[in-house]
Amino acid sequence: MAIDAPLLLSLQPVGYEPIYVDIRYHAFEWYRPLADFPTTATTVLVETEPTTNNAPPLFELPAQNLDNLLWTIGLNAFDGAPASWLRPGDRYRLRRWPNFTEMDHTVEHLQLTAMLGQAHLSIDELAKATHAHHVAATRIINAFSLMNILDISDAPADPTAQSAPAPTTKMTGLFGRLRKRLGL
Amino acid sequence: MAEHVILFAGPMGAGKTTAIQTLSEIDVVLTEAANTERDVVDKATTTVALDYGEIMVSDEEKVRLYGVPGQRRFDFMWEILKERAVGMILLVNNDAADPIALALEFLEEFSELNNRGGVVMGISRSDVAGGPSVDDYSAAIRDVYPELVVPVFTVDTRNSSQMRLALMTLIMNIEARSAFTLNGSTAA
Amino acid sequence: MSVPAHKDQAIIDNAAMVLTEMRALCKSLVYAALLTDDGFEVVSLPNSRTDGSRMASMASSMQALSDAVARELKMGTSEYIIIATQSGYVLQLRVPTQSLVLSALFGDDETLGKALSISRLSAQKMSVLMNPDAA
Repeated sequence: MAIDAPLLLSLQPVGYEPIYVDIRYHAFEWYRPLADFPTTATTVLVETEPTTNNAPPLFELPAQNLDNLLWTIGLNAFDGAPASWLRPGDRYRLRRWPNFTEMDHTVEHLQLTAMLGQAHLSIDELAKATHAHHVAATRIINAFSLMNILDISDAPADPTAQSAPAPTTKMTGLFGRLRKRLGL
Repeated sequence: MAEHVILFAGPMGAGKTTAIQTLSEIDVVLTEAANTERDVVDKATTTVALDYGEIMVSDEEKVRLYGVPGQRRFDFMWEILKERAVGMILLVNNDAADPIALALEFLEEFSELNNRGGVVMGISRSDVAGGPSVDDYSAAIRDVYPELVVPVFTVDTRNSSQMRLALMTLIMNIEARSAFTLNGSTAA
Repeated sequence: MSVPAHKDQAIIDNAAMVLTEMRALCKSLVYAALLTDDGFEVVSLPNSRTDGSRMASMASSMQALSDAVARELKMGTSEYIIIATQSGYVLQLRVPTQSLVLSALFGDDETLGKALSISRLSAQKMSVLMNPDAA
C-alpha cells in the first residue's frame, strides 16, 4: 500500500549513534540492542527526509519492527505524564493487540491491554479497573497512542464501564493462580 | 476438581500438537495416523481425533488442553470439543496458501467460543518470508468482526515462553471480559 | 511419493472384492467400509443411509482413540472396537500389517460372535491381498 507522505527518520539520543527509521516498511535499524535505548534521555536529535514509495529501503530488510521502538519510546518518554498530544477527557480502546511475543513486557502490561480491549476507558478508569498505578496506565496509553493502535473517543463515560465489578465466571482468579503455578 | 478446557484449533500443519506438547505437564495423549495427504501438508502424521494435555494449577484445579484435527472432515470432533471449552488458541501457519482466509474460516467456525469466552491467535512459521504480517491478520479480523479485538502473536509452538504468553493472554482476556459482564449481558 | 491407498485402483478393486464377499457371507451386514488410518474411504458397500466419507472420518477417530486408550492403560494394542446399539453392532478393526481399517455395521439379527468372526476373516483377506508374499 502506498504511503501518502513516506518518510525516513533518524533519531539520535545524545551520546548514541542514530536510530534509522523507514516508515514505509514499519522498520528501524540500530547498531545496539533496543534494551540499550536510554530511558531517561533528555535530548534526542530528530531528522526527517522525505522519500518516495519506489525508492529503495534505507537499510536491509526486514530489520526490526517499528512497533518495538515506538513501545520503548512511548513507555519511557514524558516521565510518566500523558503525552503532549493526548487530550483530557479522551477515552481509549484498543484497536489491535501489539505482538507481545516480540516485545519486552510485564504481566501488568497484559492486564492493562486486556482491559483496554473491552471498552473505551480514560486513563483513570483504566487504572481503577486493573488496580494499576495511574502512571502505569498513562505510560501504556502513551505507548499505544504512539503505535497508533488506539481508538479514541471523546464521548462521555458509559455508566456500565465504571470500575469493574467482580468477575462472574468460575475462571475468577485463574490467571493469578496459573501465574503463580508457572512462576511467572 | 475444577477444570478449565482450552481448545487448540487451526489448519493442518499449524503446530497444534506441538503447542500442547510444549505446554502440557503430562505426556500428551496423541491420536496420530499416517498422513496420506503429503501433497497438502508434507508431514508424516496427522491428528485424527484429538490431542490431550494438562496443566495442574493445584491439587484441585487443572487446565485441560485439547487439540482438534485441522481437516474439515473431522469437524464432528470440533463440535464435541467446542462445547466444553472456555476459550481457544487458534494457530495458523504463515506459509499456508492463504493463511488469512484460513484464520477467518476458523474464527467463523468457532465463533461461539469467542462469544462465550475468548480467542487468541498464534501465527506460526512467521519467519518464512513473504507471508502476511500480524497487522494484516488484525486488520482482516476487524473488517469481518469490527467489535472483536483478538490478540494476534507470532509464535514458535516449540517455545514454552511464547506459548505460555498466548495461554495467559487468553485467560487474562476472558477474565477482563467477565469483569464487564453486568446483569448477564456484556458491555461492549 | 507412493499413491495413497484410497487413490490406488488396485487396492480399491481388492477392497471392493473383499467387501462384496463379506456381504455374501453375512446377509445381516448393513454397511461396511475400508478406510485409511487418516480417515479417507477406500471403498464402501453402497448404502443410501450412510455418508461414507463422514463415516470414514469418524471411524478413523474412533480407531485412534481406542489405540490411545490401550496405550495409556499399557494393555497392548486395540484389537477391535464394538459399539452396541439397539439396532445392531458397529465393529471396527485394523487390517493386519496395513494402514487400513475395516468398519462394519451389522443388524441386530446377527450374533456378535459371527459378526466378529466375519470381520476378522475379511480384514485378514485384505491383508493378504495387499501383501501376497507374506501370506
